[in-house]
Amino acid sequence: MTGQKGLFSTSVGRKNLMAITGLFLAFFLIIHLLGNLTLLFGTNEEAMEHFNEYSHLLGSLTIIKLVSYALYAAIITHALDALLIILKNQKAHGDKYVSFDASATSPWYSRNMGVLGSIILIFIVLHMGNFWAKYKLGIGAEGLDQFTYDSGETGVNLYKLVVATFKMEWLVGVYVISMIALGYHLYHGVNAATRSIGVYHKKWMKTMETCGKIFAVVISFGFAIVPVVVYFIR
Amino acid sequence: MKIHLKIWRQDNANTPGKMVAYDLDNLSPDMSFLEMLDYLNEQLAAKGERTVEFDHDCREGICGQCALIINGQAHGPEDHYTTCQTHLRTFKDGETIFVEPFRAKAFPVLRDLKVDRGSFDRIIQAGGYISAMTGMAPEANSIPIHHNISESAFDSAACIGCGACVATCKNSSAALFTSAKISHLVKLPQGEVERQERVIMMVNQHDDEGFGSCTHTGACAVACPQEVSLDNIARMNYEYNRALCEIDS
Ligand code: HEM
Ligand code: FES
Repeated sequence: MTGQKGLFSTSVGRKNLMAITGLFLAFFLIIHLLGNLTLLFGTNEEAMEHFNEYSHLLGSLTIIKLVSYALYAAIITHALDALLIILKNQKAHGDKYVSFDASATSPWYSRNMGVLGSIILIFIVLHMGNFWAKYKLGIGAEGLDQFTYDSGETGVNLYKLVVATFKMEWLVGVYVISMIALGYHLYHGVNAATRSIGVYHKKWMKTMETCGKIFAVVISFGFAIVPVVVYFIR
Repeated sequence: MKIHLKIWRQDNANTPGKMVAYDLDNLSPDMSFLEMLDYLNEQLAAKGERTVEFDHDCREGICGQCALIINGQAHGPEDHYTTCQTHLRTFKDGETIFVEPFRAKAFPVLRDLKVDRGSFDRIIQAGGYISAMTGMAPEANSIPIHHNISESAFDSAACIGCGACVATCKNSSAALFTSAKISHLVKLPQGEVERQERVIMMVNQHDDEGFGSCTHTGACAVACPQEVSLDNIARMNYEYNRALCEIDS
């Protein structure tokens, strides 16, 4: 057909990519949160046992490895696509208004998805440095406690690493603030994503909007509470 | 009543513009915003100065010609009103009011408050039509359409093409306008023939005109004088994806 552009090169297509990667990341958060919540229950010994065995199990599954590569790709694609969209949208602007009241027509978080996303991106780098780099790559892992799994293998005691990390008040603060940013990003993002991929049925749009907002609140609250509770009870 | 105006003045597309202050007195609160500008222009003309240029036609909220940013909001402070239907009673006596043209790369300023919205016409030209038999006008009721569907198509068709959506959008996206035109036709059986190519051609034209990408802030639908729904954009996205899947099959 004449003038047809690629799947992801138009203003609509770009948003499709944004939405698909965003929803994939959002789905991953559910699994991630369930794992983290094991840190909160039982005695210190029980929590250590559950959390370490769970992490080890995940790490040993091929499917999880594949999913993790997909996650890295999704984060990079999502952030780059966001950058492209933002740059293109800036080019679409005329001269600046002398007086303009943006808050009269839209909520602040919907206008600052790029800022919220950037906070999340910085957080992801910090977060992976805190745990992933030490646990998976062994960077800065010298002298960390070792743990023997049920299977007889040994590895970094991730539970102790987490507890030690969350004894730093400033870091707990950074985690909580980042999760608030994540919450707002999802509060707008999940609903936007369903519209970007073209869910247009009135009833479904309403349902997805409500579910998206509940999801955003539950996920961000769930993630934020973990470092705080670990700081106080572990 | 008294009003202090700060109005964008610009000679043409190639010269820089600036805000110029005008004070008006003896205004009636029942004057429309455009009547106030007429009143200002009479005074300017009497003094031999160049009058303030602005677009308008019907002055009854149906043509979509009037288009001003008033105190930082498209068509003024009230939601779902056109500029011509905005009256001075909306403002306080002695208030300072900023008046600016709609701004977007695809809406170049022609002079003062007048912008070129030809980009909208070209989006319509790209796909806002249907195939129809030539010859006698067909019998109006020969194609039965469910009442709800015709009402829904009419809600989309209510768009008057003023451009408030673009002017308000932080991305200068014309997604609401384009999607309203697409939805209006796709909801009706008459629009079926060009269903796939319409959405692709109109989205392509939208992009070629330099409009931005929608991020669903919803600002457009709040500013829209016709209350055109954001749902049209979701419908456009669906139609676009569907067309890409179907077009070569
Ligand atoms: C890597 C850092 C991130 C950046 C820079 C970023 C940035 C953005 C931007 C700019 C948008 C589009 C703005 C809009 O639609 O108004 C967006 C949308 C979205 N983001 Fe992110 N984000 C990031 C991380 C995440 C993460 C971790 C998730 C999921 C947990 C996520 C989920 C979403 C969703 C669901 C959308 C909606 C897509 C749409 O509007 O079509 N983002 N993001
Ligand atoms: S002049 Fe026609 S809508 Fe305002």
